[in-house]
Amino acid sequence: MIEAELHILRESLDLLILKALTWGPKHGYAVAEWIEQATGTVLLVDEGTLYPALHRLARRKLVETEWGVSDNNRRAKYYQLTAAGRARLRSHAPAWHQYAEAIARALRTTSSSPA
Amino acid sequence: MTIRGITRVFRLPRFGRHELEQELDDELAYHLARREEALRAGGLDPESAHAEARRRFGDVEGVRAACMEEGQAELRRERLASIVDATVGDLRFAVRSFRRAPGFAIVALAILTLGIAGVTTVFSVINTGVYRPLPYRDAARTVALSEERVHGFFGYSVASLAMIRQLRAAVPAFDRVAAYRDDRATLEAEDATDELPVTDVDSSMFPILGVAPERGRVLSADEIGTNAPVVVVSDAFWRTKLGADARVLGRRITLDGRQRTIVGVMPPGIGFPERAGAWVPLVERADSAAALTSLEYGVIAHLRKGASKDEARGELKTVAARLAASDPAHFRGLRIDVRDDMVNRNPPAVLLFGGLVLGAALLVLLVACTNIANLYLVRAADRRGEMAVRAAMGASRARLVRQIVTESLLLGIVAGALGAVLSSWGVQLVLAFLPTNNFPTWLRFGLDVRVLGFATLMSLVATTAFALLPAREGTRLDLVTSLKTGGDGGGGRTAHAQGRRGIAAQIGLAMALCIGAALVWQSYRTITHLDRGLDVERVLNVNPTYHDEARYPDALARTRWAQSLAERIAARPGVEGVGLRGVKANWLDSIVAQRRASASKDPRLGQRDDNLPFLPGAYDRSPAAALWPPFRQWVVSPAYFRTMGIPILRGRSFDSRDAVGAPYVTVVSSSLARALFHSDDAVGKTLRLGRRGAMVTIVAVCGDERQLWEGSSGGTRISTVGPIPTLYVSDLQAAAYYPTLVVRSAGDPAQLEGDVRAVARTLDPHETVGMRTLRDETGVEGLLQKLIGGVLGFFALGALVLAMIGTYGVIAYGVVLRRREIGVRMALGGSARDVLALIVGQGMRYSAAGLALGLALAAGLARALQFLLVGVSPFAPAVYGGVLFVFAAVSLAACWLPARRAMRIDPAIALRAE
Repeated sequence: MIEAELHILRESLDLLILKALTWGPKHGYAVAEWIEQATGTVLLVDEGTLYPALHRLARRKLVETEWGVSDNNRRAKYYQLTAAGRARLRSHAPAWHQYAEAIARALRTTSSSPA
Repeated sequence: MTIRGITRVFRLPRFGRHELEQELDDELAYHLARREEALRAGGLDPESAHAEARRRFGDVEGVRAACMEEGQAELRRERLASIVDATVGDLRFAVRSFRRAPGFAIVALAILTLGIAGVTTVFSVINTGVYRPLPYRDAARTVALSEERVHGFFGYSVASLAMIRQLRAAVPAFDRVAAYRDDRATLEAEDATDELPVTDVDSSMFPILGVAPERGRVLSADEIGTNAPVVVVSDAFWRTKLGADARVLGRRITLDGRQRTIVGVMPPGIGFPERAGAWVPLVERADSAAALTSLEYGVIAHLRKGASKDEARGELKTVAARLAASDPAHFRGLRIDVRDDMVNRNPPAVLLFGGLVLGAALLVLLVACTNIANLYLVRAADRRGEMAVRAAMGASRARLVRQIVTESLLLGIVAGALGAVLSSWGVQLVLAFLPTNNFPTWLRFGLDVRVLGFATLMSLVATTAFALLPAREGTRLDLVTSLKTGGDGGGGRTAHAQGRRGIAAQIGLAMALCIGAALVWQSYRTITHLDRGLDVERVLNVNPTYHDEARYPDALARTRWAQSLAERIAARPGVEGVGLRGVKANWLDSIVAQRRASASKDPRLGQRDDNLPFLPGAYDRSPAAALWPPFRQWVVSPAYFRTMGIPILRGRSFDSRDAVGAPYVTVVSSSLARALFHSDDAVGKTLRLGRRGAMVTIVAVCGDERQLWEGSSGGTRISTVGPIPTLYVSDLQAAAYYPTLVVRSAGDPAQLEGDVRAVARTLDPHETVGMRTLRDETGVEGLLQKLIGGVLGFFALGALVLAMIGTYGVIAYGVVLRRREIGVRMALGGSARDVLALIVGQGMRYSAAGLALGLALAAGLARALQFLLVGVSPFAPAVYGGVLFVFAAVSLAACWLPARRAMRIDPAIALRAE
């Protein structure tokens, strides 16, 4: 059960990161901010957990990295979607929609024997 | 943004753990700093902003560790990928560079392949012959024993029953002693009779061999003790004579007139001791002292657990001493030799042939390797420009070395594979050359997988070693010079000097081989053109086997039978003459006297029948006869001399006057006459045969038969052609042990075989006769020289060609290197002849060193080959001179061709090219 939960969390975080990067390269802090704003600070309990996920995605060639100069003129590591990352987002997002909706519907149900 | 380019930079292997940590720390610090800033902008004081940023980040160390794990996994994967990438790249590059210089690749590949194939082939053959274990259970702890008397047979394992009985009783180091007898049995079928090698075995034999039969069972001790009519047959016999019948057990075959039931079939490759087709119970004949001491058995023994061979040797010494004391007449000076192998594993042909050919193949491989090294040297010098450019572009020295090693490994692997294919054919080829049907059954030839592995490994090591030599040289670059001069950074000269030393080595080795081959081939010619003192053409040798001991109990009976056979064969059409010959047994009248004596139960006389020593030797020990050389004592029929074409030089041949009762007469060969009387004029003189033996009168002196004598001189074995001193007596006055017939035919003697067999059968339907033409028999004599000379010659020619290619290549390359110098010389007024002299002179200096080396090596090789040499000295000046001349001429040509090219160098072009 724990494994499955972890998997779900990891998968959802991965998807959020990929989504965050669809508008162009971002450094880790910007990704964290985007997720906070987009989810209303619900999902990212500890900001630090973002980084292992980013590195994992980089290893799986879903994102590429580059050191660049940030908006306030400091050296920062930027992440950018690769073609594989984009494809992953496209293929996994609909499944998440269905999944999330299915759970929501189930939680909304009031009868003990759903039609 | 050029993200792809930058990631490529990150993939460089020098991006390590340290850099990874640094980057990670920077990244995390950036995040924390930005968060702090944001919090401060939101109104928090710096201290609580710092604390809040950390709180919201969570476990910094945990995150850091998790990220490092990911990063390091990535690092490892990338390193592996980069190695694979680089190797694939190296291989591609190697293939491309070979394609750019296909000449180098093909020549190198051909040389290596031939070298590897040669060595693998020969090694496969020798390995089977010598090193593969015997297919018996405990072969390592089983020995053969041999009874070595002062006079007697010297075979691998010969023994008398008297000794065997002592061995069984009194040698604690052995737990089993098995006696056997090699025999030939007549195999009778409906339509024809055939001869079959058979081994008679005692009851210890099968337990020692420890080989489970393929079908049925082995002979039991009971069956052997009672000489039951049973037989175990070999796999080969079962296949060829019994049609691989699945229901063979219980079938009957007739051996020597006795029906025997087949109770077992041995597995393939078993033919103890060598080529037996069947095993039958051994009957130990112990009815007389003669039978007990006759050396007609072989014996093997199995060491008791814990006993050593030395222990056995010690105990055997005691046995020998006891036998010698009890029966000095037979066993004086007896030694019992222990042979490590239970059967003779060193068929001289295989060993000699194999050893010599292996040596030759290794020499050729050495020449090939020198050649390859030269090729690499030249190529390395050739590639200096390329290497310099790559080094300048930042390739490390290790990287360049790796490239070269990859190339040579590729070459080695391909050559190894090709060599394997070639050597599997080679083994077949060698087998076609060797008379395998005469080989023991345990010799089974085939490509040995281990040998193949060895050869492949060898090829890899050889190529890599020879490639690295110039690689070391080639990568120690002076970048600036190399780039400036467009490739030749001076190192070319070094390579060239090494190449010239290589020339000397190659020429020397090739020349030694050529001289060795020429000497052996010369010996072969000597043997085939040997004047044997008789006419070997159109003569058929007829060897009756005299199987039936009841019918042919002694020399007299056999001689009588052979005489009647000769008479009938002489009457056949197409027969020009028939002679009888055999080793002399006793005078006929003394045999008659003995018969009378044994009838009166005089045991002393009875023993003498058939068992006189018949080795060549001095019979008469009187001072006057101190000059007796070792000679042959033969019984021949009067027609023998005419049939064989042996001339009667003086006196008369035997005729019907020389019968029983008449004075003993003899014909001596010229060499014997001269040894005894210092002249051919011996007719009318008398000789005494034996201390108290008969007086014989010489009636004629005949020509000598000549043969190859193997002797030793100064510790080395040598062969010479010499006469065989022979004393002939008439078959009308004396009996022969196992007389054979010589039949001269009007046409092809082989055509007479059927006729002779038919005639023999009318006399004795169970008798088998072996037949061979004299030409075939003598043809065997030079076989070893022919084989070895031929193969050595083949290798020698290969080495010659290789050495000349090598010489040509190095000199031609030298010309290329010295274009500028030559251009300058010619521009300054040097003539084309000067240039020619310069190039040829330099090349020949190294060739001359090679020629000298060759002479020295050849002298060594010739000494090793001396035992094969017949009628030619190992230092024959004609052979050495001839080969020297050929090599000098050919190396001159190899130097002259490139030198002529140098002559045509246009100084203007040569200088402008710089």
